[in-house]
Amino acid sequence: MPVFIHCADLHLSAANTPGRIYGLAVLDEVMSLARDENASAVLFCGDLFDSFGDIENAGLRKEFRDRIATLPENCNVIFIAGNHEAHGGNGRSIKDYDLGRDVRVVEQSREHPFQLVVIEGVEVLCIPHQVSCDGYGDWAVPSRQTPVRIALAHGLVAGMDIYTGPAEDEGEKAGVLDPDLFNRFEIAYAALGHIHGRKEQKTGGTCLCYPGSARVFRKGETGQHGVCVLRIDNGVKHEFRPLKSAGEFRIHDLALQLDGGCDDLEGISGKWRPEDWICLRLSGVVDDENRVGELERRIREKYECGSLVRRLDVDRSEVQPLAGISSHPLAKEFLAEWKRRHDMEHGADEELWMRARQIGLKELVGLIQQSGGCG
Amino acid sequence: MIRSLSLKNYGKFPDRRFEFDQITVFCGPNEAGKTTIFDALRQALCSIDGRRDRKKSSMLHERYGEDRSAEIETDGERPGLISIDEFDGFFAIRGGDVRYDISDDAGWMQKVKSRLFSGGIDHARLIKILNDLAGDNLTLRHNREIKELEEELRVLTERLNKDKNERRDILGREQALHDLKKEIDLRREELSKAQIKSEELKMRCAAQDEARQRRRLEEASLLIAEAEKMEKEIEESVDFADEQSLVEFDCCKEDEDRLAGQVARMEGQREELLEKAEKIDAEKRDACRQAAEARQVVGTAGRILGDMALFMERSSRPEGIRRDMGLLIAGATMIILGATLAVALPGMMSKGVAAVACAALGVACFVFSRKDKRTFRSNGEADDVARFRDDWINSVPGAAPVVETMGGLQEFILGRKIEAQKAAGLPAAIEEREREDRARIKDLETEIRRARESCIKAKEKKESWLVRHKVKSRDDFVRQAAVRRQLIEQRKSNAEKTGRLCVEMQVSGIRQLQFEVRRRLADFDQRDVARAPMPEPDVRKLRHDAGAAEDHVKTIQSAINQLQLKHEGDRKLMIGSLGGIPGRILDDERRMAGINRELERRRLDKRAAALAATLFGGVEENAGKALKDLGRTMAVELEIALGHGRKVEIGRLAEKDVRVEDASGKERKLDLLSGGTRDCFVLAARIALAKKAGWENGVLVFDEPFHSLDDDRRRGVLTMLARCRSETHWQMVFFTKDQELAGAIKAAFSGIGVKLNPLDPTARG
Repeated sequence: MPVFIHCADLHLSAANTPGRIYGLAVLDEVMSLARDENASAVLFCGDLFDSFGDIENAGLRKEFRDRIATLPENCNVIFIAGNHEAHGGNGRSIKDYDLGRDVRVVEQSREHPFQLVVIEGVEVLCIPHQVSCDGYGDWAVPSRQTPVRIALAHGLVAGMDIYTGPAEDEGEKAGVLDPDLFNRFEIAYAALGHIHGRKEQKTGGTCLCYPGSARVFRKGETGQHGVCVLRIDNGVKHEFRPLKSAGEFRIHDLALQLDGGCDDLEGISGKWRPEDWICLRLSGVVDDENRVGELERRIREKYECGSLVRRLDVDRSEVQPLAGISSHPLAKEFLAEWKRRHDMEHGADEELWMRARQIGLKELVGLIQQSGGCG
Repeated sequence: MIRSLSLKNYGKFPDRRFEFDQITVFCGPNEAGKTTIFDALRQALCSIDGRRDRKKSSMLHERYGEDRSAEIETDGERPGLISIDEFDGFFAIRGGDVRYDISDDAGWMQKVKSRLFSGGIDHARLIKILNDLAGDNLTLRHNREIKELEEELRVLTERLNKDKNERRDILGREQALHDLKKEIDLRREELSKAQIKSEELKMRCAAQDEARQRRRLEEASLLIAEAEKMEKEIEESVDFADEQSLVEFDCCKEDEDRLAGQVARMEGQREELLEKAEKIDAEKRDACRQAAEARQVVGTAGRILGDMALFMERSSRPEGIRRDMGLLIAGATMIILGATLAVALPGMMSKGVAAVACAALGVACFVFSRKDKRTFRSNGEADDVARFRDDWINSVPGAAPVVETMGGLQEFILGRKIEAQKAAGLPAAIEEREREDRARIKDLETEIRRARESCIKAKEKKESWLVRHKVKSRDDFVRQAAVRRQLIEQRKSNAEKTGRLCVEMQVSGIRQLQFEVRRRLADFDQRDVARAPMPEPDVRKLRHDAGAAEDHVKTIQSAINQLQLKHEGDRKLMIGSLGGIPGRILDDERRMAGINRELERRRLDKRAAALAATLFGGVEENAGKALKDLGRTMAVELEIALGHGRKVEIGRLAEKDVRVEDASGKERKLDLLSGGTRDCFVLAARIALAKKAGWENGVLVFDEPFHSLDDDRRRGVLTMLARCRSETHWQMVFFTKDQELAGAIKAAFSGIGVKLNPLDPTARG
């Protein structure tokens, strides 16, 4: 039974040494998984590198080649270009660079919008990133000759309710894939890349699966990161495998007390791991902003400098300073009432409670400021 | 507890230390520094934030400068740092704070409530703001934006549904197109197979054509070889060119045959004659024997007939005349003939002669036809017949006559006699014939001998001709001549064929033709073209199949063309297929997801606002309870301050609900009482507020708060303060210019330490 590793959006980069080390560590774990599973193929579904410039970096390429070389001889490696690798400088293409032992690179080409290969009796339809796939109806994809055909693609599949966040990805916009493309070409499993959040959906006879980025790439990418292990028999069974080295992006909303203190950090930091990227969103109204700065400094000293986490961001944009607020009776009473009622709810709908706290304080602050400040 | 307050560069005190006790009184006239000490104490007790307390901080800076300090010394626990607002609001009771102004429309109690529980914020207004945020009032920004987002979502949903429907339609048409394409592909496969089959059949036909061509070439080659051979044979058969010489042979042969025939015929005749002679001899012997018998019979018959004639002569009588009918008829005929000739013949002479002649003849016939008729009559004819018959039977062997009359018997015997007479004459006739035959035989033998000789000569002549012409026989000559003729005919035919071949192969002359044929045959050999074509029926079938296959190919091609036309037509109708629809769907979905998230956030905000309003409502409720407690506390404090057992009732902590027994014991509303009583109420309220606010190890500071009170009120208030002190253990600091008050304070708090600090307005340091 062939086993394939479906990996996407690793975004290896030569810049930023910690990020480079992080990315390569994730790659190491992917290679280890491939060896443990005795995989027949490792499928990189786009954005393996963060940019074309990273491919051109000789050092990074060597690091990549060294890791690929650890795979068994019978393990195929397929790499389809993603939107981050779409542009080559000076007319060069990815194939012009040595990525190691028989790595099959599939790039965008007007004449060949796809490639079809067979690995251990499984047809693999490779669709690299392209600006538009709306001509797929004219693609001369032959009828399926093997029991199972899978597809590799990089782009956005319409109809999957994908929300990529308020900001569009930088660089080239990803191509749109109609799910009919996969039904038409008899695809049992579509190994997709580009979306960094894990998502899957069945349409017709095709399972469309984004395993999500193999590593945490940008802020907001919460949840586990990993790869999918495909076991192909008469059909395709897939299983998500989180990668320990990828860590997680964890975002915590911390409500500050009026005096700038915060007392619930210890409870949540117990789950943090050294590979994690932590974002702390401080919110609230405080007497003295400097105290918040001091708090941040202490947190960074403990967690970031102590290597308890990989990266720590502190967002203070929701912190509003207002002198005297800590002695404002209504603010104190409100927070006391909030805590009393919040503790009674035993943590249900935490987001609502945090937001109620923020709004209540915000409106209170607004009125205080309208009335000329505290006192 | 505060033990001392050290001032440096603080107003008029460059460096001064004041001692404190449980109760501390600063007493001095105006400009003595009471306010300075008050400000310094406040500075020392409060945490002053540059931003929060900007106004008060800048006031202090302006008044006393930057380079000032106020430090307190304590023993035991230091009072907790509080904000200036708290200090001013709860723990610093100044003269102006105590004044109760009934003309204040805003409501003193409301301000107290606001200050105590809302920090100056209109609590109800805050809750209203939050409820509005939580409600669906469109005029509010929050809700307006939600409505706008919902509307945008609705439009997007409509557009998305439209795009999805359009996509579904297109895919449906795409599917139909796809199916059509599949059909076209299937037909193309079929066409390919048909073309392969057609090509194969064509190749086989071509192979057969080539085989036939090869056969034709081989035949041509044979033809050429044959022509050459033929030429040679014709050349060699030149002896048989002259067919006229056959005439000579034929003549010889004819002669020979004729003569041989004659010989044979004559020999045959001779043989016949010999046989005949033998037969005649035998016949003659028989005839002689028969003649002898016949002579006997003749004799017997004659005898008997004679006897019978005699008998009959004797027995017959004449009975008339009979006519010979024959003669009669002849005579009649001659007469008729004469008459006819007389009419028919021309000329009177001829007519007359003919008539006379015929008439004479007729008459003669008539005359001679007369004969006497005699009739035999016998009385015993039968016995007579029997007698004569027996005689005959006994004399002549043979069949007995079966007669019953004499005439009959006569006729029988006469007949036998005639026959016997003939028989008797036979030997002579036979001998005559024999003699003739013998003569003929002899002649024949002579002729045979001559004919043989002639025949031999003819044969020799013929043989000589054969030898001369080198043939074994005429047929041989004829055959060879025929062969030659045939060869010539064939040569002619070959020449025609080779001529056609030359034209066909565009050569001139048979040599070139031969060369060309050999060349082509060599080419066929090289290409291993089959030597033997299939039988013609099979070839016809093959051509038929090839034709059918080609027709089938054309049919399929036509069908494919039609399908392709339909495919193109349908495709054009689709106006670019899915085109940008998936992109639009994706964009709309993403936008919708964004809007939904935004809506979720806004709705969360609404819910959160409602929750916050609820929380503030809870705070208000708590405040209400606290105010109730405060009211109770205030009532108690006021009762103490008023003394004399006067009752104070506070229903709801609002001015209008405060009822106090006046001096006469009548319950009256606060705003209807004296100013002093109202001021007492305010003091009591302030004390109650301070207790409510709470301050660990706190300090109550009074700055001329009793100036509006008479002695009685003052005593009541001091009793209230003493009670407060015993409950809270707060330090109390009084600032007054009233020496008597200072004394009263000392007296009121005589059980505990009281420090009096007199202040001299003229003193420095």
